[in-house]
Amino acid sequence: MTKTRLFPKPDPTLLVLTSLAGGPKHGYALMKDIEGFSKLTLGPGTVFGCLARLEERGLVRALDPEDRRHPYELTATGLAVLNEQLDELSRVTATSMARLRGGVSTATVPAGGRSDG
Amino acid sequence: MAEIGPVASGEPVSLLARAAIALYPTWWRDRYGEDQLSFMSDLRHEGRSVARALPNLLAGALRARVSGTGAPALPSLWWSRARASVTLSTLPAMLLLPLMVMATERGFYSSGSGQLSAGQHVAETAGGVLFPVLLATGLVLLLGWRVLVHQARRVPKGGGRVRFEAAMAAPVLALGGALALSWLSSRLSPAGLESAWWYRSPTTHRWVVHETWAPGHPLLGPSLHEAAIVWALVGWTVAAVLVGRACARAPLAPDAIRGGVLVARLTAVCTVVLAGAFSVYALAIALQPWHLIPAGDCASVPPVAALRAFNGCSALTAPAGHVVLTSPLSGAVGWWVALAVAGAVFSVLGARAAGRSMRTAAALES
Repeated sequence: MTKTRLFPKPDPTLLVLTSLAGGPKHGYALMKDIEGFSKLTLGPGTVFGCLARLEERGLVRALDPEDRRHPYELTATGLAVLNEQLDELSRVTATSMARLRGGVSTATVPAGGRSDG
Repeated sequence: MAEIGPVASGEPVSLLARAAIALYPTWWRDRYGEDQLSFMSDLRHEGRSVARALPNLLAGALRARVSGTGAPALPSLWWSRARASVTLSTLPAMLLLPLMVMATERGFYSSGSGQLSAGQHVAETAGGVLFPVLLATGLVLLLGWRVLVHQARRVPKGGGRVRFEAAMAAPVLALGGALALSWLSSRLSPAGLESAWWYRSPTTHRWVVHETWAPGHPLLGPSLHEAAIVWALVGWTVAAVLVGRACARAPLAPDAIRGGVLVARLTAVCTVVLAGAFSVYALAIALQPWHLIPAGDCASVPPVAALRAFNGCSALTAPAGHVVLTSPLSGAVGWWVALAVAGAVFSVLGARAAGRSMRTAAALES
């Protein structure tokens, strides 16, 4: 079977928020952290585009610069929004996992018909 | 507190990366420029490919310019962005219009027998769409131009307004100069350009009128005719840039900018239709079968029938003793289509950015 992606890649904004939930980071550290837990490499345009959007909405804020670069951290609003997003995702994930473990085998579903059991 | 990240490497950043960062808006560079330079420096320090990050950096610059994400909440800045975006949206149409008019005049040819091939039918249909859309685009731009000039006159006279009005005269000079040269050229040709065919052989320039050679200066008239075309193309392009710069800096009231945004949206729609129809038209012409004729027919005197049937003679790809008659558009179709599509993309992005900037500016003011 060829391995094709059915669902889009995770939203970079969610990845940035998730990374910052582990503590303040600057752009490059963010990219490396995200690469570590999601296997996705975000470019500089994407990372700072996300940070700009999040900062504009008050979800992250820049700390004082260190070595010419600003570290960014989650604000209280950012933390609340991330929690809300993850709650939604975990509900879908939990339902999906429960149904998969519930024993409905896709192999027993005839093409165009219904499962007998 | 968790680790913020490794200490900055201080690795020098390549010129290309600096150039890509320079494409971001000023307010973005002021805010994130150093961060991005550090990012690129760290990337290089760890032996990662900087070249692979460049397209992402460029896409980010385009996104920042179109969306304005992260721009300071200053109404004046957002009005200024709206003006610049109107320019970005209308400039491609102003630049593409003369090119497309020239292409539609010279690009199509019939087989001479009156029979059209399938490709020629497609080209004819697409050409039929092109003409009214070209006309509509020209009208939208002219009306928008008139409205902008009218609005600018409501602003008290000052340095800015004088420069604006001077720039607005540039298209008139471009078209007026071209018409004057064209008129002079027709006065110097033996029977006027409408009925005379100018034939350029490798060795001589001759006039052919009603299928026979005619007396007349072999070079002056045709040279002026070509000078008129060059004047129109170069002059219109320069005028488009001048008008664009003037509109982006003009001291226009918000009402005028709202009108400009409407013009930008209409122009974007026209440019998209133009690019689509033109692509079909140009590709259909480029895919027409070539016509081979004996070389003697092309060089014989006077080759009026051949010249009427076709727009160009080329001996480059023909078998020995023959020439290929092909459209002048065929060889250039790739970049003409690319230009048209790029123009449409910029026009749409500009119109979106103009609308968003105008809404944000109005919201900030209220």
